Amino acid sequence: MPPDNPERNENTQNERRHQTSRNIFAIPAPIKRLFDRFPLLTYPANELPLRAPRNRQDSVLYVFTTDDGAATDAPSYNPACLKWQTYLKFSNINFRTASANNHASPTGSLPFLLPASADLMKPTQPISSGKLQKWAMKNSPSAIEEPSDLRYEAYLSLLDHKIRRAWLYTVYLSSNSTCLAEPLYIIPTSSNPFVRLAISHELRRAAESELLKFSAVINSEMIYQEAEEAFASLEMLLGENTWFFKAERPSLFDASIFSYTHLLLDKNLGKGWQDCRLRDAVLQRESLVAHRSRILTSYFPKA
Amino acid sequence: MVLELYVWGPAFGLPSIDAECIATIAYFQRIVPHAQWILISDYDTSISPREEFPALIDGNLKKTGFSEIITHLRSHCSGAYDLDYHLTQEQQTDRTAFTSFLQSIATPLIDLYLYVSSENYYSATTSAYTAILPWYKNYTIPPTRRDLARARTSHQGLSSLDINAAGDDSTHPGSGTSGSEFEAAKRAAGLPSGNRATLPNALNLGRGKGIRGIFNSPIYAVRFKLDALINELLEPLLDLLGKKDYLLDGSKPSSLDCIALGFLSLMLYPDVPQAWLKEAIQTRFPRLLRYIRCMREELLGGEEVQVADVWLISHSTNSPKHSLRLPWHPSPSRTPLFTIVTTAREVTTKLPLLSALLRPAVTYQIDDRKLAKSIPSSLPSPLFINSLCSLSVALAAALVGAAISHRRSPRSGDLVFQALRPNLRFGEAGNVLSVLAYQLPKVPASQV
Repeated sequence: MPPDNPERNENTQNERRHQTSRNIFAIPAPIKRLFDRFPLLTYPANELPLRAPRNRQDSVLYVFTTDDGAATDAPSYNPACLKWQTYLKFSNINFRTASANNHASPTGSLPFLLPASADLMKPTQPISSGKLQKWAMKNSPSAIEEPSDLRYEAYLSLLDHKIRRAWLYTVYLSSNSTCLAEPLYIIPTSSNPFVRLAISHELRRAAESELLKFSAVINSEMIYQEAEEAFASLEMLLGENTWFFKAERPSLFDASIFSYTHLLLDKNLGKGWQDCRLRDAVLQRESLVAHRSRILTSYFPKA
Repeated sequence: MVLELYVWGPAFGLPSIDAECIATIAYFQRIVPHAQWILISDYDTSISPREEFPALIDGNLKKTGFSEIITHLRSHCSGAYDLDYHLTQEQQTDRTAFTSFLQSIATPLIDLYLYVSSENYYSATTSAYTAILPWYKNYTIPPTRRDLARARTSHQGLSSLDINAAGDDSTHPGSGTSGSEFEAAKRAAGLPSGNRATLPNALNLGRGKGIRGIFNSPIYAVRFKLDALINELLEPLLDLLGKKDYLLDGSKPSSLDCIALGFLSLMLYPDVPQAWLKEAIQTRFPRLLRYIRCMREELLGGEEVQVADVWLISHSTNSPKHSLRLPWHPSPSRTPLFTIVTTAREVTTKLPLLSALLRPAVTYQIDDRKLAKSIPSSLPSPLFINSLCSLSVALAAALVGAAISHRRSPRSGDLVFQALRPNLRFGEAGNVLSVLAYQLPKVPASQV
């Protein structure tokens, strides 16, 4: 209050008193004096809950991973997720990973990607794994051209069928199921032992029915032999080259190979490997091991 | 030692109804001398170690499946039966990859073509099976194989092929109105219908149903998807074939040609009502059409296999004297008891309610290599679950038993109500207290 204007000061005080006496909603003077003795403390705004999405300007790839893994950008422990995670890294796309499960996905299976949106108020449509390649080619600063080799599809079928079946068998049905499938896929989903038991039965049955589509019985010897043959063929295909099909830079094919070889060579996966037959099949293939470590060092430096 | 090859019986003029069986027969026909092998058309897969055909019996050794059989033949007789000996290392690798490619991409196409598509299944495939199976097996084997085909192709979303053509009538525009009922009644009575859409007119294509109706009719709606699948299979094969006579080496057939013949001949030769696969090969891949015909001529002799001839041989008991190109032999005779038992078992496992209880367990064939240590599961053990279940079942049974026995024999005799006398004492406790009370020293009332 400027001291050179006492008259005006008095006037305003009179006015205020006049107003308060008329206004029935005003705080009565004694109570107001009481309140005035205590200063009004305004707390800072609450922080967002820890689970609230941050950094919405980044694209987020939802994969099977642990929370620690998502923070350190570690490779996912699911081959299908790791394939796309690696491919997006090859495409120089800026993205984060987040932990999720199949129920969270619009298509019922991981991975899916929530692209970054310029406008926070406008939610973007999730992109399923089937459309990820197209999306990556459109949004990448340096789009990857897939090698146009006539043998591409044939060798991909080795991976998508022979090796995938051996992976399903070794992770879900062999003696590895207690040290791989259980800590990775069953324990994190629930804390209830009965729910866990039901999920483990479901996973086993799903793996069984997938294998029974192609043979009447589940014969471990045949499954492993086919996978061993497939890895040998893939090693022949790679030869002395850096990337498959003599490409200049890694492609989706390299990402697909890496998704299996990396997980098979990772000795700390889950609680460690019990049935090492499929893992040994990769360990024998030196150029595939070198191919895996090449990708791991240049694209997953923290892992 | 004569090699015995067990396969599914012939169909569609081809030596077998199954692609891998055709491929294996072609391989044998090409490289194994006739005196060294016999071919048996059979239907009981239990002789095969993995319960599938083709199966090879070589003395004590039993092998299942095309890949395993040719791997066995390659090591057999110091490599005399190796059809791929002339291939380079790189071509051997390509053979492995393309064999897997054919098995994984062509199998679902054949499934859709011959099994899932209901029109083709009912008019061609089932009758082909009827010709090669004994009558009672027709109730189990074709439906089982169809279910398997459905399971293999379910992810492609092409189940609309599986619609019975009988349902088509109800999709006419305006069905359900009184007019359409009238038309239907007229048609049922055999009267000529006045409806333009039902006239056999070449120009009614877009008129009755509208252009959307045409594309919505099952076969057109899936046509686009099917074309993509067909291209996915045949274009890489066409690229691989190029201008050569054979897929890998230009001068001699390899095992890859055998497996390609197995799958492609089943696409080309069956006479089916919805011949989309045959038409695609004929119109869009004439180069492959010529290749399939050449291969059939060269590997299988080009003649049509007559089902009746093979059936006669399979069911004769004496040693065969026939003029067929392939070394067909009679199938092993089975006792009627065996037949009855296996059939009864198969039928019971297919019945609606029993199948849930009697579903055969998944067979695991695992080599018994003991592991040094095994990590115990952290989930509840089966023992715990079983004991918990039996405990709760016993508890429930006891409750139910008690309830039933109570209902059967309610309280016998009259119901007596006893009026409670007011009790001023402390009951039993009072007795005890009274004992104590005697031990207390007597206190004069005046002092209290």
